[in-house]
Amino acid sequence: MRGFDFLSPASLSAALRAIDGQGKNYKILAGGTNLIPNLRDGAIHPGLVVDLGGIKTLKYIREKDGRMKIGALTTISDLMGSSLIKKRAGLLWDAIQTFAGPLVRNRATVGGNLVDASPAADTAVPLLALNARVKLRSIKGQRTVALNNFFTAYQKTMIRPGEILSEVVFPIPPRRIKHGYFKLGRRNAMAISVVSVAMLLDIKKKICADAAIALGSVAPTPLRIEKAEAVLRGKKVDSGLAKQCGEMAAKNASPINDIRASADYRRTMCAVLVHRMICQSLGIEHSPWHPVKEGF
Amino acid sequence: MSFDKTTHTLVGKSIPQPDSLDKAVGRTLFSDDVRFSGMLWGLALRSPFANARIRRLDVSKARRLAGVRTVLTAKDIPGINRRGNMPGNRDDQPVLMEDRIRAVGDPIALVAADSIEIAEEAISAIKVDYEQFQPVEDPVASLAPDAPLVDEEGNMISELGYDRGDTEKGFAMAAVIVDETYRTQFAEHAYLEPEAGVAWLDAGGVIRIRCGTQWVENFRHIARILGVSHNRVRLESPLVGGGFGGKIFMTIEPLLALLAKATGRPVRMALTREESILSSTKRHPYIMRYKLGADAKGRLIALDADLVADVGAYSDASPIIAWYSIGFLAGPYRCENVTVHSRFALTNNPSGTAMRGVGSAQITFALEGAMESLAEKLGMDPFELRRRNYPSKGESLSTGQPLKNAVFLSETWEAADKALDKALSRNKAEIRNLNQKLLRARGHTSNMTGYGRRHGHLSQAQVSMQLDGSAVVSVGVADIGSGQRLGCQQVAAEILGLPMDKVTLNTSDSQLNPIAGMTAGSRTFLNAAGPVLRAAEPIAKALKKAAAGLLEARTEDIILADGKAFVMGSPSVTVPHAQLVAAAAAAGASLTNLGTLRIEEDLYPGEETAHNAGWLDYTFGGMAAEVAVDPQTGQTTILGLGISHDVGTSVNPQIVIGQCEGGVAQGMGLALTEDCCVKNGKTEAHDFSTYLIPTSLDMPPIEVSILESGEGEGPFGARGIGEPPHNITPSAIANAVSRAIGVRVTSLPITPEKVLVALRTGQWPL
Amino acid sequence: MEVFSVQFRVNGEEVEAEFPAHLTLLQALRELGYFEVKNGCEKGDCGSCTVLLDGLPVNSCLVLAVQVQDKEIITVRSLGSADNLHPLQENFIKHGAIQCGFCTPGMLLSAKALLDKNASPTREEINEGISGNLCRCTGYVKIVDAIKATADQLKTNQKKRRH
Repeated sequence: MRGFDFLSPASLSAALRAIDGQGKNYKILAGGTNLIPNLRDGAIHPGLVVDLGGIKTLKYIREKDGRMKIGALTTISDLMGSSLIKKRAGLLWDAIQTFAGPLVRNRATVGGNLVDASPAADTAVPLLALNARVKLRSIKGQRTVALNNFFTAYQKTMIRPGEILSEVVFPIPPRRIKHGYFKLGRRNAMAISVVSVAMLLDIKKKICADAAIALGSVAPTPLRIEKAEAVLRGKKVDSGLAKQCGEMAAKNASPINDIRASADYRRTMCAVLVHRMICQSLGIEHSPWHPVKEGF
Repeated sequence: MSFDKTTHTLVGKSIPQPDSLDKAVGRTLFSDDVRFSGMLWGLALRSPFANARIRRLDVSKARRLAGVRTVLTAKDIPGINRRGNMPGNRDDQPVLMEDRIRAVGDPIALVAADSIEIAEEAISAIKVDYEQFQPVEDPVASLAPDAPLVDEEGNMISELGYDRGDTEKGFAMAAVIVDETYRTQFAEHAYLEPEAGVAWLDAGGVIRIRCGTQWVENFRHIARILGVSHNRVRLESPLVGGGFGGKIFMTIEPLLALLAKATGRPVRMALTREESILSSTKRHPYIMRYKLGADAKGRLIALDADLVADVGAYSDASPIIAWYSIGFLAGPYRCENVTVHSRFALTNNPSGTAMRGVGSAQITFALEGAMESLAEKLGMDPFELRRRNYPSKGESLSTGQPLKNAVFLSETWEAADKALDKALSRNKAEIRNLNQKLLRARGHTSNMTGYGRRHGHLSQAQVSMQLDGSAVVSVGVADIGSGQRLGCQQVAAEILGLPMDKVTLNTSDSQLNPIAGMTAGSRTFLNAAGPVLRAAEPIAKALKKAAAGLLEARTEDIILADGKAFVMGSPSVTVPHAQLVAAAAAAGASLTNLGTLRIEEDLYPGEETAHNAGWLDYTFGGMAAEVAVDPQTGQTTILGLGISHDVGTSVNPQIVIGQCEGGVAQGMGLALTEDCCVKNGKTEAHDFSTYLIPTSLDMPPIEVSILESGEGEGPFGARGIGEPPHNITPSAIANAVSRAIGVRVTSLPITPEKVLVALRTGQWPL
Repeated sequence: MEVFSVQFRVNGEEVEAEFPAHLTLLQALRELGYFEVKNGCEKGDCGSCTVLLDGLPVNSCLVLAVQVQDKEIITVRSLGSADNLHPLQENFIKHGAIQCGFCTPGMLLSAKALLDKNASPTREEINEGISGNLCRCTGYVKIVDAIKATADQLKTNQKKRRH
């Protein structure tokens, strides 16, 4: 971690000016929980680091017109301290409870977690299910892209040089909508997910009107599994259908072997956890509950 | 040795550690917390490859850089380029690599520079041309006749074994036989303080090294490397930020010393966590085949154990660990027909060394698993099976060594089970909410851990009375946080009848302190506080004699307590220690005394044929675990743990319980999550996001039940307790998981993935 | 190498120093002699380097020194002194929550931050509050005991004061 220039602009526009024309020679510093170790390791060598920490206007949680708007610099601890998130975005709330540990949560930001684009990013998975969009600002203007399109490849996003992710916005799910989140990790704290599942289920008169299912750590990016959602839509959800949905999720995952688990295990867990979380969020009898006999 | 607690004032009291105050206010200066003016930064260039030859090494560019004060390679070592080993063991590890690389992290060159930035630049300016070879990764393959040689002397660094009775005949008579193979992983000590230290030249040409270590006696190895006499090297250990066996053999001490000697300037080194994990020693993986035979009544009549250990790249502590293990392989059971055999094989993996429960944690896991299988096959309660085979005091282990002190195996098993009930009662809420479909079971285990050497042991300490009646203890033992200094202080205070704050400690300096050996092997209370006791006793006697004169009483009626002397039964008339010291001095008594603990036991029958295996004494324990296993994810949740040991005498209950709780946490890590994941000789899990030690949220309720037989070899009848709680834990958890899933757990760690495979196939995967 | 002038407060004292941009707060504090801030991993995985940054516990290895302009930093040194211990320090000592002591400075600050936020935490909440601070010696049991005892003590003191 040697020899880079450092700027700490007081406003977003100043930050945008600072990075304009810098090509790929700069890095944006938000919470720094990944960036700073990467700088130290020599994994990255930017010429310029622009710290957004001084931009107070990027730190907010607001409800407006049925939508939740979260400033990119909002920390995970800010989210945990927000009754608005707790009441109106239970899925995100559930997910952040297992985010690293308290120390990291005091620094890590929503924007940083998304731009980092790890397949295991703990906020990305619920936000994908919530149909979140991210606002990308540049000196030329702004564009809003669906989070579902935002992640393009392993640790790659649609962000172009000169752009800064300034806000995450998602429609607040109506109260009737059920949600479920589960993070399978090797420890109860400071764990990187082996597989994580987030889902929203809209059940009207026992029929699934809509479903959103997202998975973490099972593909190069956090992933919406639309084919699995389609299994549920328009149908009466019982354990059998939930199982089918889980199998479809597994089929559409493309996990890898790494130090935490094998690809096979992850694929199996897609099926198991999607099945289980559907049953759990809807309060339906989960059967069969037996040791996994196949597919692994 | 039996001990009556009632006549003592400090023994049995939970006195806090003397160093806790400084630690709590952030005043303790650990290895990396001192600076000298003009201090240089030292860095090592280390091999990224596990098996390679250095074709060419060019340090010329690095040497020319401004601010670089020295660059050292193997050629620049003034003395002998070997790290040294215990007498008789292979001295196969160069300090700096000559041509052959045997492990990832092998140091090739050293740099000392004005700043870390310059040192880093110099390291990257060094050119090494490596010829790479396929690393030897498998210890079994390493022993094949055509295996590539890791060391010129051969890949097997130790082969041991002994026979008792007729094992073949034993198996022929057996009603049931169990034959299973168990495996354990490479484990990292994961002390929170990475290796760090400083070295400088002192007056009189003495090289001083201040570096956290468990063994200041390593100064002799450093002298040999530097080519100077022993009196020219002084190694001192500050308080150590965790050791667990990983700081017994030298870490960076010789590197620091070489740089300080070459530059004549103070030099500092501090490893990053990655460098620490990549270059440090580990717990050996063991492959253990256990064949057990029992008659229909559950009497163990044949035991055949075969152990292959992965030594890693250098012999390090392995020969001695091999010797420890051979003594444990037959376990704490009565069995007439025994064959045990072990082979320790070099590979290009990280070197194995001592780690808490050295040479026995792995064995407890395997043997106690096999005992469970035996009970199952017999259709017998596992406790009943063990009870029929536990030896009693006075009986002998399979080696032939008689057990001279209490053997509380049944007692600790039952106490652990009760303790588990208590632990579970503290976890009611979680248990109430558990999904009924989880697979729940309770598992138990027994354990025996040795402490203290039987032969040729010598350790010393010095106690000096001050003129005002206070005392100073000097003992060359390092404190790694588990109460080593406290033990010496508490013993001296007890014997001299002083309050704790009137005894100060002077420890872990190789030139100033009498040598008391390494802080390791659950031995330190015996081997460091033991000589302190012997040093203090004659002084106490002289003080009592002086008091007897002053109080006109018999010496044997004098009691020393709280800095005063009085006659038994008349505590109101006292004489303060200051006065006693003056009187004793006037009478010609020496008020500075060297205490020596020399241990030389008689040979037990058959000792030579068992390679003199065995310990001075053993600590016996039992443990019970209750787990819930998710049959769909394979995740194991520990609902509660109960642990019990007979500690002889619990001299400081808070320390004893703290050792149990901490040992259990480490054991949980070994059981469930910790694995170095060594591939191509490289530790893949080289940070704390991949090498997973338990967090606070992973801890179930733990209930500790301490039993006191009063029989132990340490001061006041204490037994060693540093390692036993760690040794026993993986076995208890594995036995519980095995019962929950109906498949014997035969390898560690117990990952969710392995559990699922086991549930699917009925076989624990390799 | 370009350096940046940074002014901030450590334990109530004004500090003005020049740092290159790459220096972490952990490295900067240790260079300034705050050795009580421990370097355990430099990746935010262990919590040994915990300080309070404007009252919040953070890994100082995950903050650049140039980021702390005008900020308030608290290390364990200002929690209490040897003759005037903070109740947490007192209880850590008394309950045997300190073994090797390398995690202690960070652990104490996480505990302080927890009690500032939640004056009477349950054992579970304490475990959660210190879950970013690894300890390899104690198994956390006595640490939780000490924090719980402190919370109970502070509550009793408060009640006494009220009456």
